Amino acid sequence: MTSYVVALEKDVRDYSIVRSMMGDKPLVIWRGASGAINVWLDRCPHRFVRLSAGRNMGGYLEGVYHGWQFEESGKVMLVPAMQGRPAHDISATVYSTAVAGGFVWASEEECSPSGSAGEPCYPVHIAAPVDQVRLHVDSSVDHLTPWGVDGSMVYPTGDPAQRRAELSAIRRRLEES
Amino acid sequence: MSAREDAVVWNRWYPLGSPTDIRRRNATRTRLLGHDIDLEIHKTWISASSDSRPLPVTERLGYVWTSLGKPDGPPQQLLEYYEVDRLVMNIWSTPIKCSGLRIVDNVIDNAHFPFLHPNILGDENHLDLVPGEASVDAAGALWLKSQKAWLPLTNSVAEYTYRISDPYSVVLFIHRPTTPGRYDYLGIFAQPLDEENFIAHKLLAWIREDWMDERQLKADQQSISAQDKYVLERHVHKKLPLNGAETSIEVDSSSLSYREWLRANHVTYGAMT
Repeated sequence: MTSYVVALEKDVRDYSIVRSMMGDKPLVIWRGASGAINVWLDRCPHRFVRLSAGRNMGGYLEGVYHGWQFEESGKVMLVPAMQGRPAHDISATVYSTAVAGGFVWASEEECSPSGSAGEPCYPVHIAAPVDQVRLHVDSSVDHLTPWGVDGSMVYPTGDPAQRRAELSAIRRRLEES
Repeated sequence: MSAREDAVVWNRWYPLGSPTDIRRRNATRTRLLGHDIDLEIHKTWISASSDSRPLPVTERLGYVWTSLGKPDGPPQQLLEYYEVDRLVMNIWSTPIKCSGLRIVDNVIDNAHFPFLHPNILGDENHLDLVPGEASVDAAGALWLKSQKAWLPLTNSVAEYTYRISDPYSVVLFIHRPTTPGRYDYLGIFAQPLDEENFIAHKLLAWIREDWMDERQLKADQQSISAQDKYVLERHVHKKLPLNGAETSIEVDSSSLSYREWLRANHVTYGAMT
């Protein structure tokens, strides 16, 4: 029955996504339209892309790869490619959460901040809004994206001149590395 | 694991890049399947060796190909590449931080077009997908035929066929409504550096038309690849899961056929089993 501090409450803002860790489990943390904070395993059940690479649309979290929409309970409420046909009973992995003393707590079992015996694990370097995550923390991806350096997911503008400029920057960097 | 233990992957040809790029960058070192490869650039050809062991080398489809093992036969064919009315080029060779199997899985998947390539390869008002038919030919290659998806660039439904003759590569045939029986080709050939890193070599061989501007075409295709790179590197597991841990739905049939084909061929390098 160990609960962990996984983020500061003030970091979890509307329409944004926070990444954190609980032990070795990556977490995605987001505040829904209801105001409640959701702490999930940072892994889409479909093709295992990070949910934190997607977008917080308020009422739901949208996956970046196939646009699946996850409601606040963690259940998939819409699979666009299914054209409104009922999706199977698919759900993200949801952790029990509580907010106390300005901290967001989470647990794999029932979350109880007061009764927590474990060391609080608050990975300061990771539990910050995605656009403030230090680049060196995440070495498993190239932070130079087609939409600029890291940053929250911004969709491409479609302006060919701008795309070309972005791409030549990427190409230069790739050739230097 | 060592690539040597996976005979299917070990005894294949892999591209090391386009000779033009290798010469321009004077690239004399690269990696393949966890082994360092030394390249020697001669006046008329490029030779490759690994730990002083000379490797077989051949130039084909605009790339230098080599193999660490004993391949039975030459690299995969695409004779149409050499037709005189085609515009052919290497779009780019870019390093991506995940298993090379993942890019094949990405290319054959049409359901992500409206989200990752909005208004280029798909849009959210046209989500209808027609899954293709999967078959394996006499040579053991996996074919995914006649997948249909909306293509905003032409404002119509486009038809795609895929040929996967090697675990780490896929050739896309874009059907041409005006000249049935002829196709525009895109080849995506992964050079696995190790199990969790690869270089994507992307080839374009389209029938030349008046509107085509080489620089523009290249920039557009690179833009699409860069979008794919973003999501490919953000998979939680770098390797492709073949253990059925993922949740799949009915429109994922191509993706499932590819996984089934990899399992049937006992491919384990770059996969989670």
